[in-house]
Amino acid sequence: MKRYKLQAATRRGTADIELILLAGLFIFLILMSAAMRQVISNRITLTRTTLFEVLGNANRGTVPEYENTTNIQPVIQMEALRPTLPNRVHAQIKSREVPVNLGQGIDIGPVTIVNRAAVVGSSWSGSGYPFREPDRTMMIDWFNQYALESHAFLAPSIGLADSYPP
Amino acid sequence: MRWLTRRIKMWHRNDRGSIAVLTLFVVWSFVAMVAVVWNTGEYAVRRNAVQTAADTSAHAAASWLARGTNLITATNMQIVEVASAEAIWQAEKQILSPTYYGGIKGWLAIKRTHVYRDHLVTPAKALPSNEVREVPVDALRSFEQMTRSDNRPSTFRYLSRDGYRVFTDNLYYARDQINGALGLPIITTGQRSLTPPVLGITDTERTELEQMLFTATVLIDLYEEVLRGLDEQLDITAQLEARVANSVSTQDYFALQRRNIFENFQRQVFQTTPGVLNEQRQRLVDFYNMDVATVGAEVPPVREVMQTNVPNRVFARSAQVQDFVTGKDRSIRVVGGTYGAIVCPPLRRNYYYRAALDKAAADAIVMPYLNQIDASRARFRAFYYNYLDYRLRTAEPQYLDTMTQIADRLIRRNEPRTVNTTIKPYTQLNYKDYTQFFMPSSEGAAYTDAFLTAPERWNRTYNPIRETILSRLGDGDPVPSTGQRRAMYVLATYKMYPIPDWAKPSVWPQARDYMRSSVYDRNYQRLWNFRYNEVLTETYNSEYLRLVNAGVSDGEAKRQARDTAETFARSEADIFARQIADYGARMVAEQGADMWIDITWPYEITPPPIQVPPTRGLQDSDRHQYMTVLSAAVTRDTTNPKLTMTNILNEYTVSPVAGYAQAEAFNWMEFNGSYGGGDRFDQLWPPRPWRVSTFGGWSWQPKITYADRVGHYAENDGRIRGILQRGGVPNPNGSLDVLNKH
Repeated sequence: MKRYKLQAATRRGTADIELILLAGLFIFLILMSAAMRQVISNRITLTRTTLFEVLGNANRGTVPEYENTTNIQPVIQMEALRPTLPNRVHAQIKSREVPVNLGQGIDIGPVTIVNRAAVVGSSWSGSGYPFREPDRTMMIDWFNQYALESHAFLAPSIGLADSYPP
Repeated sequence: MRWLTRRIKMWHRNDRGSIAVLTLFVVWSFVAMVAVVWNTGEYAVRRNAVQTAADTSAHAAASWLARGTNLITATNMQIVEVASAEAIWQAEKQILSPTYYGGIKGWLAIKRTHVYRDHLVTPAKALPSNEVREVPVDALRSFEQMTRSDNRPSTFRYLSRDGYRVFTDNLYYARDQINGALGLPIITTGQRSLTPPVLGITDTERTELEQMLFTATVLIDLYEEVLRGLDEQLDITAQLEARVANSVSTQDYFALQRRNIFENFQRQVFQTTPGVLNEQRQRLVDFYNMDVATVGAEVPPVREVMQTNVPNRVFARSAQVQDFVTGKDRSIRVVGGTYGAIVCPPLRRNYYYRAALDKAAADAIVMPYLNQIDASRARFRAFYYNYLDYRLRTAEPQYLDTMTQIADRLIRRNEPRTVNTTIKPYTQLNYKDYTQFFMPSSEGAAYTDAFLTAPERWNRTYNPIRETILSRLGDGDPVPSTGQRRAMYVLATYKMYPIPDWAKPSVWPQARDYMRSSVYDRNYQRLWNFRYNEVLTETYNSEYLRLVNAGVSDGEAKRQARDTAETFARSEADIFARQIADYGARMVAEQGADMWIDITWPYEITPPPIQVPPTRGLQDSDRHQYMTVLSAAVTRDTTNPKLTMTNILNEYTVSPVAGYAQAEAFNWMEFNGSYGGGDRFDQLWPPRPWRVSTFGGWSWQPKITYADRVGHYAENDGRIRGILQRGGVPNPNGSLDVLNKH
């Protein structure tokens, strides 16, 4: 019995040592959870940001946001009936480098996250808020050009008011 | 058994490895925690992604609906633009036509010839004998024959041969004098006499000839001046015509032809939209790598109608009102009117607006020329009256009566003759004064028009043309050439609706008051004029007699009587007109208001069936039917959430995620109170434009809306139901709560 007790006494504390050693692993896992949360929250944010940005560009953006994208081709059937309308699709495949670290000084490298959204551009409206000047100008030009084709030969001659987009 | 008991006891005595086991569980827990964090985030991200796909798909579909509507509306604007252009062009063409003034000039020249012929060459008209009333107008030729063969026409046989010769000499002399005065060639054939014949003619005949010559001289002087004025006007017209020369080659009905082109474009837009929606959806499917279904409106929220105006107007009856003002036993008629013809159905309202703009622009070009024409006519008027005045003052005694008759005939005004028979200065007279003489027959109708002020004629020419072209465009009346009404695109919700019963009690007083005011205005001036003339004559005559009997001189009596009569008549006319018109208008309005609110009205907002709190914009039913789209999206294998430790965490490994969104095409004018967007059916009469038409606004836009149609489509559309079921909604039927909590 004494020997047994003596042996037990000599191993006393080993579990503590093991736990202490495992604490690093626990901390690593906790930090991994934090890192996951960091990545995930960025992904969620990126999803919303992508959508909001393309919506904003479609409605209220200015050059160069008006540049057409090659991510998705615009549908041209209706625009082809009479071209020069601002037929854009604001599509973004947005990526972001999310730095991931497991604490101070332990950087495990950035993670690239990607999201996408596509919004059809202006509604071909001449005066509707929130469209801004470039779209409005294009629409007015389109309308005036159409109007001039129908009775341009009359307008300056007999005296007609300027065409006005509705 | 003992072994087992010992082993169990040993677990309590020997704790070796227990920490390891505990650690194992703890590690697993932490690993699971990492997985849970990942899976939750992954699911949320995919859920957001699929929602983005649904949102943008719905938004894109609504965008195309808005685009199509805007294009069709814009093309409607083009239609009214070109129609307005044609109205201006037609009016200018008519007023500028050289043939118009040329025709007047030609007619006047003929008239001058007739004066010459009737007053000089056909002396029989002036001879006292009834026997010669039937002398042919070519009497001159007969006279020539007489001198050669002495074969006198029977109608002149009452004259002696010498008498014939002298009479003929006088005629030739008179003719040559006139021809010389007019610059016409002197007739060289036949007998001529360049000296005044004095023998062989009776004094009566001579006097008649002299009076004829005098009359002809005066009239021909006036005609000559008119001709000179017309030459001047023709010159001005030619300048204006040169100004607008580019429009000369335009074809008639070009607006109608252009409209065909515009209509084709509109139909293409309308017919193309469903295909565009499908292609757009497919593009987004490929872009998101998800399955997307879009249901709802597939065409722009417009529709073709054959008639945009009110078909059943109210013709308010007239009222017979007893003359309680004067106490006389007679009834006075108060005229009703036409009600229910809303002036702002889509085509008409915008056409009028556009036409007003074009008219103002055209006026800027035309008016300076027209003012020059008016100046020319003013010069003629000055000459005209000054000339008459001069001839009256300088006429020799034997011509004074004739001159007075001419002047009296030309410039007498339609006033009570007892009040004023004197010749007023020309500046106080209107054009009718001197057109009365020139246009005794129908052939002078156009000439009458020429003596309107030029701007007035321009307006009178333009207005009916504007209406004709509006009718030709198909607003209400059939197209003349085909007898068919033309269709046009208006908002899909634009229909004929009756005023709902719940609203009638509230709007009836407004309709009555509106009609009463309208009838009153329509009748007041007419009744005023009627009573004024009546009282003026009666009062003048009685007052004149009273003054004369009182010993006042004739001239003074006339002046005082006129002043008194005019003052009294004005007062009487106002009282009479106000009371009769008001009473009659009330009678008409009481009857007419019932009819007026019983007709259907071309609203584009469906009246709510029951009284509701104030709402703005379209009814939900219309919005859902014509303007709403619903998109649902679901992930595919490649876009499903990528989860970890799915077996342990009991996660669905391959379960797709679904989302849905609703969007609609909308027009902010729908909510604009200034245009009637918020008007209630029981609070305003008559309705204002937006509630009647939004033709003029093409600011249609898409917007994401509250998804209040998802339940409907989940129940009734297999595509939406399928996507939602794939996304994990167990049974979407009738389960809006489930869907919204999904």
